[in-house]
Amino acid sequence: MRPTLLGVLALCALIPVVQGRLDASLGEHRDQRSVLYLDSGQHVRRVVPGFEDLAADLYWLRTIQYYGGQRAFANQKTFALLRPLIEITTALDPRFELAYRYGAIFMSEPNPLGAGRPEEGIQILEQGVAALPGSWRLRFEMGSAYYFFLRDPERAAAALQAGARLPEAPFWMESLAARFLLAQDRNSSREIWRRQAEMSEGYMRENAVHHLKLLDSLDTRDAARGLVERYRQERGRLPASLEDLVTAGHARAVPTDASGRPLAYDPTTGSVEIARDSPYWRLRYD
Amino acid sequence: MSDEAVIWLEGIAKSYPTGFLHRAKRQALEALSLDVRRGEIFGFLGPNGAGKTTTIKILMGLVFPDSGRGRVLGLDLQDPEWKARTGYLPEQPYFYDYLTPLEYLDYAGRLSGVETGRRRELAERLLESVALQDARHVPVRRFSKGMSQRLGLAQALINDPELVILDEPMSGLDPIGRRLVRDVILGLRKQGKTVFFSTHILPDAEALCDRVALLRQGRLVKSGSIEEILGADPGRVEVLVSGATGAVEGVVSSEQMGERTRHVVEQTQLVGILARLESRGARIVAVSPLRQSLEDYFVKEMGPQPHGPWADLG
Amino acid sequence: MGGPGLSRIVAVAANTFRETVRERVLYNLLFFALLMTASSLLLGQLSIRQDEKIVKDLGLASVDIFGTVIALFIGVGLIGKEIERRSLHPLLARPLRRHEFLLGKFVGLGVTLLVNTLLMSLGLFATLLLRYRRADPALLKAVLAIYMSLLLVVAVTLFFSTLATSTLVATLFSLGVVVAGRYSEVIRNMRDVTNVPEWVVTGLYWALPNFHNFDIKTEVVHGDPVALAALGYMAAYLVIYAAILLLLAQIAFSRRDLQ
Repeated sequence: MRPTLLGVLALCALIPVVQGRLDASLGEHRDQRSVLYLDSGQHVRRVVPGFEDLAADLYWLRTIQYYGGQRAFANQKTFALLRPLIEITTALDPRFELAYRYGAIFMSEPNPLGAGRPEEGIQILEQGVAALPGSWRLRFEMGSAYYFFLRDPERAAAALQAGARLPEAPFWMESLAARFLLAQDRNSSREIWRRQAEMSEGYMRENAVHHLKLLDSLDTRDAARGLVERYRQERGRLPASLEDLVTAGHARAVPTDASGRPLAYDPTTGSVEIARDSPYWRLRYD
Repeated sequence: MSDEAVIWLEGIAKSYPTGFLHRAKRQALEALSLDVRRGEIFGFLGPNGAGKTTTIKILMGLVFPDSGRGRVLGLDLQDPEWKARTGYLPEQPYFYDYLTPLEYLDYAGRLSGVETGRRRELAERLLESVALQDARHVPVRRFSKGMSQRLGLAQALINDPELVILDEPMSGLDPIGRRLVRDVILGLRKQGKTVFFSTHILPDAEALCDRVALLRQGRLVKSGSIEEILGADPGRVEVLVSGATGAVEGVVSSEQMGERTRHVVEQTQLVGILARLESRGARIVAVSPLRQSLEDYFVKEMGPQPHGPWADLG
Repeated sequence: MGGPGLSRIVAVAANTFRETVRERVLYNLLFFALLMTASSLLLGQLSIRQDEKIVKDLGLASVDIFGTVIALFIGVGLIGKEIERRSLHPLLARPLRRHEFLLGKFVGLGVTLLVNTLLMSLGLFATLLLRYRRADPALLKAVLAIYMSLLLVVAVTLFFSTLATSTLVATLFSLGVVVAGRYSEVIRNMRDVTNVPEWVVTGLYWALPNFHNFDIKTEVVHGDPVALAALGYMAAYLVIYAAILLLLAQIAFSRRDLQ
């Protein structure tokens, strides 16, 4: 029996290898061009009487799978089916709060992280708010989305204020609303993401933390720009590299972004940017 | 009858877990040793639950013993090759009900290595010898218990085996069927084959077997030839007579049984007394040795089970 | 294994095939034929491009579902029923080795599934040719992949039926594993989107038989290319995984007391 068992173990070791090859070989072509035969929530409801919650779960699973698949594999990340899938899920179970929250984020995050359609994200949240009027979390999401993705601080503040009046709403919602109206700056954004990180888990939390680190990286970048400017004023020329800032005593260490990568410095123009290969590099910043 | 051991078992033991959580152990067989010689008909006897079927299953490799070893036809017990030269009839056999007897025998023969050319002919002959030739194209689904049992005997013989192992071959058969099986077994011995069969019906064993082994609660109680077990007995003879005869001198005892009279007579006096009875016009119905039968021996020696009648149910 | 062993395996396989035919397993083909006819006639109401796609989808899905159901429910009984009914006993009293019996059963059901799959594919092609005057040969790739997945289902059922004590338990476990294996893709995507530690997800992904590997229905129906290498890797996966299951089944089966 023992040689057979050894043979079995050897075969087991081959499985990850073959699976990897298979995924690589098929993955390119798994373009996620699925079709929804039943394209509205109401149609689906009619087909599964009595099993709406289960169907909602299954559609939610499919939504997640679709979202992950689009991000990981799709050549053209259109996220075309995302909205219909979310719509069906929430039509089947209107009180599925998580679906509204995640759905809005999936829709609002700019391509390629998400569908890049924040107006639709807001629409999803509005449906959610209509179905779950007592949810302060949904109002918070709305506020974040208006402020962060749509750059509309007034609507953002209005949403937060509405949320602040709801039972169990946290103390900071009111003051954050005020802040939005007063100072549309990086610190307001920071506040959003900090609260988001506090109240979420899993993917949402990771997403929020990512945004916070991005903001930190921007702060570092701005500080580095200031140091370069000071150097220039003191020496009359631009530093050859960021190390010069350290040797000259202006900085304690070479400025890096939140991932530990050094910032990109162009000695001819004196510009300091986040490095292109950094996870915090974006085409545009807020 | 040669001395070559066709089956040899030594120290075969088997226990089964029992009890609510399978913690306790029930010893089904305790260090069983026996041997079967070539050309003999060997009876494996014992009450139900004694462990006969377990032993046979261990022999055939269906069940694995805790300890012990064995040899069959000169090969180790675990070697599958000797099975090409043996035939087996399980207790309460089940054959694929969607096949006809011919198809089943063909399949069985194929698995036992019988060449394609011979299989069909052998199958037809065997079915005839067990009186199933009329049903040879009937799906087994429609068979009665007796027919299945007879098919079982046929499939045990499809490969013309040297050694035939039968577990309760007479079960489920009417008197005609039992006679048939009996004749087949005797025919096998005449061909020089060895037969090993188990039964709890002792008169069958007494009539057929050269040697027997008696099993009781997993232990081999006695083994040997029938004469050895029952002891030489000059014995008495029972003479059954019809018609009134009045008192007859020299008989040991007389008993009126309805129309008939039963005299018990010493073997040595038999001829004389028979003549005397005939001269009186009595009609002799039967003369049989009044030896202690195997059944009597069994009941006397084995007695009631020590732990009560339910002990064997484990 | 040798000559006589091979011929015994073939004998068992042939008898297994005969059993499925006599037990009317292949009648599901009639139902499939009805389904194909009905769908191709009724779907004429929809738009031109859409109904051809639906017939293809329906056809492939049927090959998959019918095949899986047969593989699952017959597969579980292959060994289990033989042990429970004791039809196995007179067979094992012959020079037939237990591993030969196991292998023969696997091959026998495999042949049944092959016949079933081929006939269904023929039906699908016939429907497509008659109704739409064309049938994409690439559909055969999807059918081949489905057939490979069916063999894997049989291996799964044989594995559980040698381990479990009752056919019901074996059926439930096999069904569970087959269903879970179809969600392999979902499990893998969970790496990005949920809280579960990565090693758990990856371990689960590798451990479960990945039936999603064999599902190229979408690609084929949309006309996306599927490299032959992919089919090759599928075959390799099937062979390796099925070998693991059958070897383990053999170990369990060879030590089992048959009551």
